[in-house]
Amino acid sequence: MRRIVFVLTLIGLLALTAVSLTQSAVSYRAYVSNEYGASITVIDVARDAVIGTITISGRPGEVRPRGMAVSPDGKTIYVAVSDFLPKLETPEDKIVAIDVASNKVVAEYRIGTNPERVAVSPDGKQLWASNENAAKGTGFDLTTQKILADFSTGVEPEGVKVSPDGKVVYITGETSHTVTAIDPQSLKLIRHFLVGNRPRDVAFSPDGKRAYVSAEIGGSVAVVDTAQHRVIQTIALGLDSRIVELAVSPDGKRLFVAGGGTSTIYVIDTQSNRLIKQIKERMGRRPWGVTVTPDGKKVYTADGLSDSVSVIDSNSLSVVKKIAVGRGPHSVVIGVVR
Amino acid sequence: MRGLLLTLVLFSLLGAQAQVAYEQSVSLRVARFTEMVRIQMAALVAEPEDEVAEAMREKSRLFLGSLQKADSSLAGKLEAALTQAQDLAEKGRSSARLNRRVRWLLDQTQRTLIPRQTRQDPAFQAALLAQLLNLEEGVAEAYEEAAQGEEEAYPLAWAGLQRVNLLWRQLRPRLANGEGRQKSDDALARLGKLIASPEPPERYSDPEDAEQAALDAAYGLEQAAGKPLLLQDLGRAFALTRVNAAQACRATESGQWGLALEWASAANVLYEQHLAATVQTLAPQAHTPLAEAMEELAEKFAERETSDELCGKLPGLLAQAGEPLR
Repeated sequence: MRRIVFVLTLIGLLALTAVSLTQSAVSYRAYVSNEYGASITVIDVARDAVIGTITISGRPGEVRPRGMAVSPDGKTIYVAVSDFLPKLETPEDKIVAIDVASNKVVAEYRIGTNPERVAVSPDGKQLWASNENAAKGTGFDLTTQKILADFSTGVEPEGVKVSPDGKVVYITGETSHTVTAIDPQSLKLIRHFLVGNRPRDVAFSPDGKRAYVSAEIGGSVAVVDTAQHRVIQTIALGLDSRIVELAVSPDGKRLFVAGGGTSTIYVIDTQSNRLIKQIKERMGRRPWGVTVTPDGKKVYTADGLSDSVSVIDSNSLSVVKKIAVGRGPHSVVIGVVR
Repeated sequence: MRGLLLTLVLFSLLGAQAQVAYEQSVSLRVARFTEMVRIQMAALVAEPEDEVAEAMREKSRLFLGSLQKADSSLAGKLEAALTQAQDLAEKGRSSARLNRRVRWLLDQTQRTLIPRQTRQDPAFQAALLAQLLNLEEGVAEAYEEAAQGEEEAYPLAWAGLQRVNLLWRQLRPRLANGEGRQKSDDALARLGKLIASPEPPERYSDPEDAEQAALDAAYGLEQAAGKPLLLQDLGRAFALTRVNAAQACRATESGQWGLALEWASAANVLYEQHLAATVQTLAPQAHTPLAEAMEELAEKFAERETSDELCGKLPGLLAQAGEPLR
């Protein structure tokens, strides 16, 4: 009996060591788009230290990187780049791909005019961009490097995400207060539906059953039943909250919402859809971007008015560090180095 | 005045909450568009522009009908002064003296059409400022247009911000909430940095900076006034549009063409600013005939032509367009 226990313990220890070795082989990097600096700041998540800056353009203040997305394997960051003249189509209107391992720009794609945000499909084969001034959502095939289709959306499209099962793309329409649902496989419009006033961003739950849409002027989050594509609940956060980006924790239990108006991160319990915490202390000014690390341990915010990133500990729900980045941080995403 | 009372009654029946944008919709419209004419006059003095002069005349439609009814002499003087300003602008000229006269006439117009209690209500004044900053052709939009290459819009941004700052200095001491006051101060200061002189800047900032600052100011004003100031509920905006369109048609029955044009223009403004984008997205088949019918209605009333056909079909078109908002 003792011998059996010894062998089992040994097996257990070996397994733990293997897991530990696998985990240590993975590291995270936070990528912050600096809208006015025309650059991307790279942060080592383990040390919360800046380890590099990627220049997107030599014309800061004229060329603006904004929304970002990460490939499913975490190895590529896609950045929506445009200029400050949304009515004109220019060479600056593009999606830039950054290789996380080397921190180098490895590709550029033209996906419609004035892309504000970008999303990637769960199989990593499609990109979807919101083209603000054209009121379009454009799909792009990364394999053939061709436009798949473009769809009329609501007015001033912004937030764009593909559902975890890859069956629907949601694009918010700021001025029309709508979300456009597109089937990215059949490339057909499913429907447009009404949400809160001035929707800025959308996030899906990990199981894909719910989507959350922020309403900047409405000061609320719409909870969407993704089977019906309709709002089933509205979570009010206050008219002055001015919420923009939202991020769901990997376990799906918490929703983090960036409140630019109050310099607050609102934490919502997704079971009850109730606000459980407002993180204000030590927050940077006007957080618009927010993301959760894949291990769920930290939350990063892009603080537009203080040129900083706030790091939040997911357990204590408090800011543990503030990191200086470039000018006008817009969004933040997490890349993976394996 | 009967129209005004009817609107107020209809709105109380609609169960509007204590929101200035609904409760005081008529007074707020008069205040906003008299202020816009004032701002456009100031911009004309700086830079005589045909288009600005024409826009100014269009804005005056939004209150001249009521003024003709309440004080036809004052309405006549204002119309004559605005015509003179437009004629001068077409010749590339302007007159500071005429500007002063128009300002005085607009002050009289506000006193005539807006009850004193309303005019002096801090929440009403705060709502007016929020609208002048944020709504169509307001300070933020004028800056955005100028930044995107339409330089003739810059004088409107400058003149608009000067007027807002003046009104804010008068209102500020009457608002109790210090945090809201401070937020408004900060936001207006940010706008002041973007729109720093009567001359356009050498290089514009991000147009959205002005939009964000204007919104920040509106939220500061809401906090300071302790009331929601911006029109948020699309269903109620639709109800208001319906009421205005019905009022316009009713006014023609008694031959009140100025009032008919005013109500029709008000319905158009409400629809275009608050509803068109949503209806266009959710029910495009309903948007086009409605937008065309409402525009045609205003055009006909401007020509003093009745249109039983348009008045007859508008309720149906509005109902169809409002369906997705239910």
